Amino acid sequence: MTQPADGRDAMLGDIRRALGREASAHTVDAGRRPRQADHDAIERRYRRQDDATREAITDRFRQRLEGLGVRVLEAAGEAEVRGIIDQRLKASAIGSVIVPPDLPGAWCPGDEGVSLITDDGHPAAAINDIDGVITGCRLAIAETGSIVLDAGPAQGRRLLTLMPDYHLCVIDAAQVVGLVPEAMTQLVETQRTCAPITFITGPSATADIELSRVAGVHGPRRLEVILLGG
Amino acid sequence: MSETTFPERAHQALHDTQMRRNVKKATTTIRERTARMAGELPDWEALRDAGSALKAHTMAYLDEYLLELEERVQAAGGQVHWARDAEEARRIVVGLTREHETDRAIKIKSMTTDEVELNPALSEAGIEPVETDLADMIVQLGGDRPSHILVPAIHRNRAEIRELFVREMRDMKDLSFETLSDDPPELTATARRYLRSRFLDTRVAISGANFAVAETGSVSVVESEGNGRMCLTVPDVMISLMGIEKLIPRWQDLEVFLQLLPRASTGERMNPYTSLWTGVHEGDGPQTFHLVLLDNGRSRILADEQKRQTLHCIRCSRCLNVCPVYERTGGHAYDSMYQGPIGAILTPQLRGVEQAGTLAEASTLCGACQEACPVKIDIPSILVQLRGEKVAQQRRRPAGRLAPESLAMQTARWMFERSERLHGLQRLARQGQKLIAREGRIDRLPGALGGWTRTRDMPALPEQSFREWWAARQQPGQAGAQRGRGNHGGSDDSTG
Ligand code: SF4
Repeated sequence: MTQPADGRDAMLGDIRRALGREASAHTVDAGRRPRQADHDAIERRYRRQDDATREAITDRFRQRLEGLGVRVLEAAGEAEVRGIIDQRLKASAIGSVIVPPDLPGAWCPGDEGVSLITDDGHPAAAINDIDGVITGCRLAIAETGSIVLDAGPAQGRRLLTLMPDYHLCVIDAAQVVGLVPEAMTQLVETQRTCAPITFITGPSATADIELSRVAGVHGPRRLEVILLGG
Repeated sequence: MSETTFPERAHQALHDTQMRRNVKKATTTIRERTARMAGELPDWEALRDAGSALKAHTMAYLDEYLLELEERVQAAGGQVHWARDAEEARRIVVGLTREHETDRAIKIKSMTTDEVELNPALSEAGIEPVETDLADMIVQLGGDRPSHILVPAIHRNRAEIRELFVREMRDMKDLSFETLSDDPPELTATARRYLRSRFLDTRVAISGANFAVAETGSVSVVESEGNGRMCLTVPDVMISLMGIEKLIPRWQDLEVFLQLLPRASTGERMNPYTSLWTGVHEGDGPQTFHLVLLDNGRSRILADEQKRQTLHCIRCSRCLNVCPVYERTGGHAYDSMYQGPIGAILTPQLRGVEQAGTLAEASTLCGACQEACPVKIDIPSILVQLRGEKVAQQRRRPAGRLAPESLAMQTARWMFERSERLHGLQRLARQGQKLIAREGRIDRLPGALGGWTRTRDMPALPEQSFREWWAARQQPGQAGAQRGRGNHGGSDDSTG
């Protein structure tokens, strides 16, 4: 039901009149192709699938990340992840990290000196006081160096990757697709289109003060990636 | 309020070569970067074709897609409102904000909210609109206006920004202003902490939208700084105002626009943050979501199949950056927050050709804009058509050639014919700019998708139209009085 106070029907009427159709909701134009068919007929000559080798795709992803100022660490297997995490947290002086409840145990810090908080619906203000966050991702895009989060497994709520100043993301090389269209297809196929989705491409940035580029206005100022099996 | 007189400010502005250089540098950098990013893709042209075809298709079925969007958003727990004009949009958004008994709303600046002049309406209703883009925040704290479309705070140097912060953020706990330096990273960090407290204790956020997907009801905001993500995640209530032309049919279609927009706008392969949400997500982000669909003249534009393309615009601002006329005249000449080539065709149609004065004259028809446009809008042809309509309309009127608009048109023609005249005007139009700039790197343009493009977009209407200013300038005695009226921090490159 629509609120009587707004201009819904009048607006729809204006649009239909402008399109040269009857201004009523229930008329169907005989001469018009159904919109689904018309949409299907749109030519898409752009690349929808990257035919590069897996290795080349991973390489491109790595390069793009580095170009964006993201530190990339290589882990040959799961067993190496924890050690890298401990070392990075130490190097970055991270004293507390929050993790989504379903983060694999092997991706949690082993260092006793780091306080580990598992998210259970903490308020934003509490998360704000935490130094870092560790997550996985849904997928990643080599062409653009983007990490895609959809609040699914090992990712947690959107707040987690936003409030802390440091984000460490563990990405399996198999999660990296070549092109943007492949990412969209995967989100459709896994029925994640209605999830809260965030594409993260490098740390946030501004050049608003005298054109000096400064990384990290509101998002994490440091973004690091552990590339698993790359 | 400005305490200097117009001649003083003009004098200063004339010497303000550093600022001009910075602005020029920003424009040149962005032009090169967008060209490189477009050129890098072997399928750029195919993406443009698909983008153009998708937009044409959406417009042809706009009513059906809007209904689909409404249904999907409602099914996902959001509420949809329809605003025929600016007044209705203001009433709806102010009303919704009031329901939550708040005296503050955080904003991701958006052209659409500027188009309907939302901020003054909020203030009048006792709700403080807090702009959260760094540049917009600086401009808002200083009580002045954006000086340039790409670099809205370029009229403030680091020392001034420091002073501004010290003065305006005094009530912030644990910020030590005694030791605050004017180093940009330190200033940015201060802004981060200041705004963080706003994000944490404001219940309502207001945004625009870059895209909305009919098929799923998903809405998208594309940005750089992360203030958009804050607004989309921390508050209880999200209100998004979108022009009805922002619609795209299916989720998969995003793959075209998410490639075109950042490359054409800031010259990035992808902007730092793109958010997509669908209604409300349990336990994640605002639990109340309102989507306000705005017509405000758009349905009128649909009626003409050629001019309908105007609605395909994805607000990347690339046509501004390649336009020789825009480069010389800057923003004021366009008399609107929509500027450059797209402004020259959009504004007359939104307001009616009658009201649009000389805008359609503001082009050399060189075609650079069409070539650059990621969705291939044929701006030159639409300009020609609008000129034709304008002339036809004028002939119909008895006072034809002597009408003020007609005179102004002749003035504009005189101006655009000779570039040195433009130059002189450009210099004189600058005022109040005091940039003691230092060298900086521009890796990524200011703020997010620089320009009036992104969701944080652009400024208010200029205080004076080009026409008025020109008229005043010809009577030197009055020019100063008129320009001095407001604290107008802009240069002629500015958007307001
Ligand atoms: S008209 Fe201008 S702003 Fe709009 S999409 Fe084309 S180039 Fe970008």
